[in-house]
Amino acid sequence: MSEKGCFPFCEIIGQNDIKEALLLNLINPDIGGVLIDGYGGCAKSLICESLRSITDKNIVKLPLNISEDRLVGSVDIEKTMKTGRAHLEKGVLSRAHGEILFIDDVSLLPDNITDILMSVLSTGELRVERDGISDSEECRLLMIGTMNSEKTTLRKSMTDHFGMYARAEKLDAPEDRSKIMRIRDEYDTNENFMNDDRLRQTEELKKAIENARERLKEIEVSGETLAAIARKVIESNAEGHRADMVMKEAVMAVAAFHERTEITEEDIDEAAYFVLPHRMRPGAAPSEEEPQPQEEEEKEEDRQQEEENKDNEHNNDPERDTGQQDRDPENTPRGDNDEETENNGESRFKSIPKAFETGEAFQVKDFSHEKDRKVRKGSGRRTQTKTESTSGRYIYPTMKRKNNDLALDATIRAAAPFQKKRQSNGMKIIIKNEDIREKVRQKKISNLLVFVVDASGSMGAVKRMIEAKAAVLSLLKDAYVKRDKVGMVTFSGEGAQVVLPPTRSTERGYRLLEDIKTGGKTPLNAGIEKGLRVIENQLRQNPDIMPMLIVITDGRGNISIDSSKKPAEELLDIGEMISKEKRLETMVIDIENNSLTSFGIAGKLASAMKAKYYRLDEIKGSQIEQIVRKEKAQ
Amino acid sequence: MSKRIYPYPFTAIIGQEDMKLGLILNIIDPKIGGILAFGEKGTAKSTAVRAMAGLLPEIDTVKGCRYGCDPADTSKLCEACKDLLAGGGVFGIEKRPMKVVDLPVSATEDRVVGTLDLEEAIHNGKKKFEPGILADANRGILYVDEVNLLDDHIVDLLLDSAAMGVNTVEREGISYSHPATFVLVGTMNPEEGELRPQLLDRFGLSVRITGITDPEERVKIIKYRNEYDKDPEAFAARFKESEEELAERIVRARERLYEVEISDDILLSIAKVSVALEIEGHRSDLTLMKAARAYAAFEGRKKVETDDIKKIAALVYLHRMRSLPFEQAREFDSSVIGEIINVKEAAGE
Repeated sequence: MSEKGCFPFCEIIGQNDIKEALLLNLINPDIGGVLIDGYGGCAKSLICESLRSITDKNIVKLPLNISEDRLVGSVDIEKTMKTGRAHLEKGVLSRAHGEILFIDDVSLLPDNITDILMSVLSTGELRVERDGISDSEECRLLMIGTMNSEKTTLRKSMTDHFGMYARAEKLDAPEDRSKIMRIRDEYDTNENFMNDDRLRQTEELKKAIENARERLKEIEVSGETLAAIARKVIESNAEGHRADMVMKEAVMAVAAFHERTEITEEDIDEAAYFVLPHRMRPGAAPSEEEPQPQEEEEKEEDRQQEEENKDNEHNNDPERDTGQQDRDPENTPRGDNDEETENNGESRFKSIPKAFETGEAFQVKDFSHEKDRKVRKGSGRRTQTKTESTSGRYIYPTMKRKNNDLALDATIRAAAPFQKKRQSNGMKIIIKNEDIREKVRQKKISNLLVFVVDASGSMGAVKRMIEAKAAVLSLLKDAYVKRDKVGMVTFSGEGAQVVLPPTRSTERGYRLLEDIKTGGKTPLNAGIEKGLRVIENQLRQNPDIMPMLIVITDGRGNISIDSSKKPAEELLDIGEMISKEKRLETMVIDIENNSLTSFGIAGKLASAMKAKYYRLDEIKGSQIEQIVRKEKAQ
Repeated sequence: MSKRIYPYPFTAIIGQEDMKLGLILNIIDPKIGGILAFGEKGTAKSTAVRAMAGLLPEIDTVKGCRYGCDPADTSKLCEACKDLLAGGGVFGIEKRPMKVVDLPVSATEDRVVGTLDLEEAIHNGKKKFEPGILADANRGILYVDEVNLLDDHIVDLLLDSAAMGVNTVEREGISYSHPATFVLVGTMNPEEGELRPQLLDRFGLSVRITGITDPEERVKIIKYRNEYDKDPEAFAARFKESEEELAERIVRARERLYEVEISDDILLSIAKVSVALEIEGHRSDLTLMKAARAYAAFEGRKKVETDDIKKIAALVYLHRMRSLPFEQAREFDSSVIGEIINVKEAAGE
């Protein structure tokens, strides 16, 4: 028995939510998968890999380097050349049909790949229309994805396609942590890791899953249960109707998991715990409708009491035997470090955890440099551009040779007229170098965002600076996610300073932001001029960048650069000059209070620069707006 | 003749003890997860990595295997080796030195993960996988100079294969996967932008390198460098003995590595340090355990001691002190480690 195989599922310590969600999906694949959200190093990838030990399904990995043609399938070069007829070579999605599709770091997938995935997931059909091939087949996926919502975001419409959501728990008891070290090391160093005991456990769990799958067939969902599900979904304020359907499948799986064929009310809570969190509208979490704090406390006490009473019959020790734990008191002596997990007993399903918490900073609306025709290097997540790299979406073929990125369809088309004349070499299609066509691709790259921040005395009034800082912080966070380069200029007193030369480190921008002090006059003109100069320097170094100048001000500039001009007039001159620089885009965020005494200069500046103009509250992205935009995009 | 044949001897590098130790520990146990060196230009970061090549031990590989598969580890084989085994074949064994493979910052995606061999495809109608840098780096050392300047997309790909030690390629009509476990060694100058936290966490150890301030030492550095530039062969010969001695010590440590005992108390101490420092995730725990064990083996001991933890902790925690993108960085203070462990000892005894 020297073949130890993958790390066994049964030996994963803790992470009961994740394990349960995965098991429920193995019991009922119609749930449609799990989105696993966890901090780095919480074993998310390991848990998914370890599924191999308890299921016979294939785990098809979707790597981040995947190209569209490999995702959906494309023309088979080898066969096509040999036979002279277009042959389809199936893609990863065909292979994953009826199996498990595993996407590590799903939030890092390029947008074009996510788009295709979503369309397949919503129709259950895989259509291939590319490279002269047209085909369609059924494609049902059990999709397991991992991400870390503290560091990246996943498009809301994509999260909805995951049946369930499970969040990694923090395992902070030193005893747990040392257990983890010990077992991991034993696995790494011991050839005979899979001893009889461990083999037996794995076999037992497999059997339990098998039994539950059988039981699932006997479960019927009554109209009453469906109504209860609908009520639960409405209560939670979840988006869309997919939640209801997934809930039904999940409730059945939960009952089967607990070795029952009858569905109980608790099953609905338990299913909701996994199905609803990622579907709730932000800011509309059910916690707001939850009982008053004191009631909550009472409840908590009750719960604990209940817990103590039930401790023996409801022990939950998925470390050993997740499939069958509830009926096996003997096998589950809890250690003394388990207070935390104890609360996670049955009642942990009563409240739905809130996913994707947002701090004080808000989600900013989508903004980006306009698309143009230039070909660029680089990567990122903001603006679509043509690219020289071999990643990205294939838009059309070209005769220009640049990077051996073969467009076979176009190459064959180019070679076709000459086939009769050419000497055969055993291939059905003879291709000469002059036939070769390459792909022109499109992908998203990052922008350079230069913030010009007003730090003058007038900003100190009425908490404007606080709001302005919140806006910059939000933009910085957005820049971090989209991988932009950022720079920052502040102006106050007599002049403007480059406080942050352009860098990829949005964090440094954040730290500097904290230190900005307000005071003095408002040399707005100098600030804009400085920002412009920063951008020009960057453009000289790298003409490929897509710069955006973001001016955050109340518009009350009172110093001009050239003292012979009036500040307001000079400002508009500068604005006009900037509007002529085609490579540059601008945005003005106006933090002036809207009142009778407001001057509206920021607005005038924006129109002189041909900039996008937003009032402070307008840059917050609204959910509805985003949904509408998505619709339009499709 | 050329510098290529006589790399700068590792033992001739003056100072930078942490960096050297970190590299040695990674050779002893490649599962430690690599090392990241922060520091200004011209502080011998790259020299140390290149010099390391001279110390690398020989490893067993499957004869003729493009990926240098380990004949003893059947769970990590390339497709050809799997086929060979499934067909009842027996592996021939070939000894090869561990390699240092460069990942240039300008590398493109297809060069990193591998791609379709265009020549073969067009002229012979064959789909052949042309392996990339990750294939070369399997079971070796992947060295990225200025790792913070690496294109984001390439970083994602590195993370993808580093996670499970497998490079899965699905592109341009190619569907292929092969083992890609490597020791990631990177250098960076933090002034030129920071590294994404996800990648940061993948490095097992890290060191901060500063220029040496002792004038005498500095003079010695210049002298050595001059001598080496003038006659690399003679210079290498001068250090041959110390190089061989160190290489031998590393080989011995590798052989004894798994005989080194780690007590439950030591594991608890490690866990407590991580909890006290609010380190999330278990990577740091595992790294500290492995690095302390490698250190004990390097010192010729059979047991990991508390002092080993204290010695190694700084290398493990330096780059893990911040977790969220917009959180203030906390500074690592090595005296804390001693306190945490001592408190525990006092309470435990």
